[in-house]
Amino acid sequence: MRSIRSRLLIWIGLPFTGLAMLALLSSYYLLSRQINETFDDMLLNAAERVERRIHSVDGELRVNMHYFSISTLGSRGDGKIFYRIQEVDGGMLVGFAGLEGPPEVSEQPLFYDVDYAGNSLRAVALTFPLTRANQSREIEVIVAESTEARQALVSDFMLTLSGLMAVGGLLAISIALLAIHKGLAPLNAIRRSLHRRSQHDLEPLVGEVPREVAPLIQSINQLMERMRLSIQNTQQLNADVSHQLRTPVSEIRALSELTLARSSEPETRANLDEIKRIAEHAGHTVEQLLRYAKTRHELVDSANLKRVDLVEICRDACAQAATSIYQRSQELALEADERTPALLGDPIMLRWMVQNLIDNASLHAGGEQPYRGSIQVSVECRDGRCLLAVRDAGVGVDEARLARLTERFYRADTRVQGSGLGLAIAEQIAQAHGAELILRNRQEGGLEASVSFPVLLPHSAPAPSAASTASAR
Amino acid sequence: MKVLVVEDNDNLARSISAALEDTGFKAEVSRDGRSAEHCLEVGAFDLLVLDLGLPELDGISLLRRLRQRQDTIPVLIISARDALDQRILGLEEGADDYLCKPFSLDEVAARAKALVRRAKQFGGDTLRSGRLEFHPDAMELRLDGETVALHRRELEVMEYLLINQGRLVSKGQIADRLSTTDEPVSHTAVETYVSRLRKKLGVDVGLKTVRGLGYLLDPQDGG
Repeated sequence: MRSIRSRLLIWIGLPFTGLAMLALLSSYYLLSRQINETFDDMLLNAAERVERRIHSVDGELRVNMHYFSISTLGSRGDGKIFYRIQEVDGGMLVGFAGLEGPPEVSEQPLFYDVDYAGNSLRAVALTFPLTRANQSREIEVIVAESTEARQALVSDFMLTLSGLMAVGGLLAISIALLAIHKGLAPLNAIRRSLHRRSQHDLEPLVGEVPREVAPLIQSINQLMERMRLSIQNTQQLNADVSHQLRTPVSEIRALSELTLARSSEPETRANLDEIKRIAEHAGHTVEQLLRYAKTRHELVDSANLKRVDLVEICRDACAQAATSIYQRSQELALEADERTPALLGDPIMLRWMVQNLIDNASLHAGGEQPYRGSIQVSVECRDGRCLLAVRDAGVGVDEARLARLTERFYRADTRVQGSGLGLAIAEQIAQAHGAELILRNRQEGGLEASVSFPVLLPHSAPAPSAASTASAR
Repeated sequence: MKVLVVEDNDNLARSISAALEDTGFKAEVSRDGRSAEHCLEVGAFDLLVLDLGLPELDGISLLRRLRQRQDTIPVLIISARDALDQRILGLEEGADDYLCKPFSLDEVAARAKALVRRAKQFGGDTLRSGRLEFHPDAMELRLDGETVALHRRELEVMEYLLINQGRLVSKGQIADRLSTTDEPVSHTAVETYVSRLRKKLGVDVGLKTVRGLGYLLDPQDGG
């Protein structure tokens, strides 16, 4: 759709250009008429003066053309003058006999256009009675003048007028552009403020807006409010599901464990073992599903991220995981650059991510066999980025399956228990932090999961976000 | 050892208290916050297992009141709400450990024992892990029943590791524990004590070095 600016320009520009054309045309018409009338008057004047130059010598009429000079016409002198003086129904007295007479006969002086000797002329024909030496005769005088002078005057004037109008038009366009710019300024301000805010900031737009856009802003705000409510509902649903499912799963698990400890009947024990395993799995899946839902990127408001210490987060996650890692006869190591700068993140999600990456290595590094090697968590900084990596020395993953590992519920090895969500969650969390989860087989064997974060520059401390209504938790 | 289990869900209350009794506790159960508060005032308990979502008086408020009364009873929180922020809140309010539903009964028992052990870290009961046995009163470590000749500092490190067996312990935590105002202990010193301990014991007792993080004494007999 055409921009408001070009719409305004077209709607201002086209009518004004039309008006200017009309003004020029009417000026030309009026001016030509005015000039013609003035010149015609002078022509008539000249023709009338001829009368006085006629005298009779021995009954013969003579015209003293000595005094009839071009200058008497009063034009600027660049025009050519032709004349013809003759008696009506009589002989030619003086002048250019080929000069054509008027198209009709009239008592009044008659103006007409005529061509003569390659010149286009304006002529006046005048008939008057002449009495000389008691003889009364009708004399016809025709005086013609070339039209160059008139045309020159008109075109001079029109040129000046057009120039003035062009300058005026340019000025008008500049003013219109400025006016459009000024008029659109509030819209631009709104556009900028929408552009600046984070993708997930659903706070209403505030501030003074022109009356004309107020309804638009109101609609935007209503839409954002609806989205905020819908996100809140989703989160509330998450919390409800979480609460409602956790307790029953806990009960099943606890009762199966309790009965298992009390029972000695082999078949019962085997069944209880299975119930316990299923309950554990269900509990884990509920947990991971909720985390998956909570880390959906449309629910993560980047305005809520704060300065976090990634090494500290890794240390916490490792400490938490250590007990079960060593129970599985695996080893854990953390190699962290202590000078790692802060980055902008959500500490809880980042911890989930590290936890999931460690769990993934611990559960899947061995392939079909339980893994008995070491898991290394490392944090390195280089080139303005902070690299988190979790490496194992296991069997790695078939290259063809690598890309599918982060798919929801895709499991490279279905024999190993897992929710099938761990890496999908880790990937979502990485994305919410402007990073990417990269999985690759290590040359020395095993899998490496790495996430490269942009480092927070020391001077760009995040602005404290007042817009934190859509908290992810 | 007496434990009060505050849990409004019958099945969970029954299972938890049974598991704790199997571990050597004498368990009592409260169904809501008010009666729990009453029980705590009347009986001398060594441990409180507290569900956060309780009728009458919620878990966090109960915990807050306890700590306001300067009651230092070890508290293990159990919650159905999601992990970390709740966990942080619980620990800030003075809980000693936190478990999220769904949990395993073994985990509850292990944590409960560790909490009581830590609460009575000076003197008190004999600490055991695998072939190791530590007698706090005599400050004596035995390996397979034989006394091992150790320096005082090494014994203190061993005691701390035994108290926290099955948990990752950082060098900083050990150093803090060993340091006095007159005699600060550095991380390097901690490393030295641990390596001497290993040498003097001569056999693998499940003491792992977790590179970049600290140490972990693997409990080889389930605590």
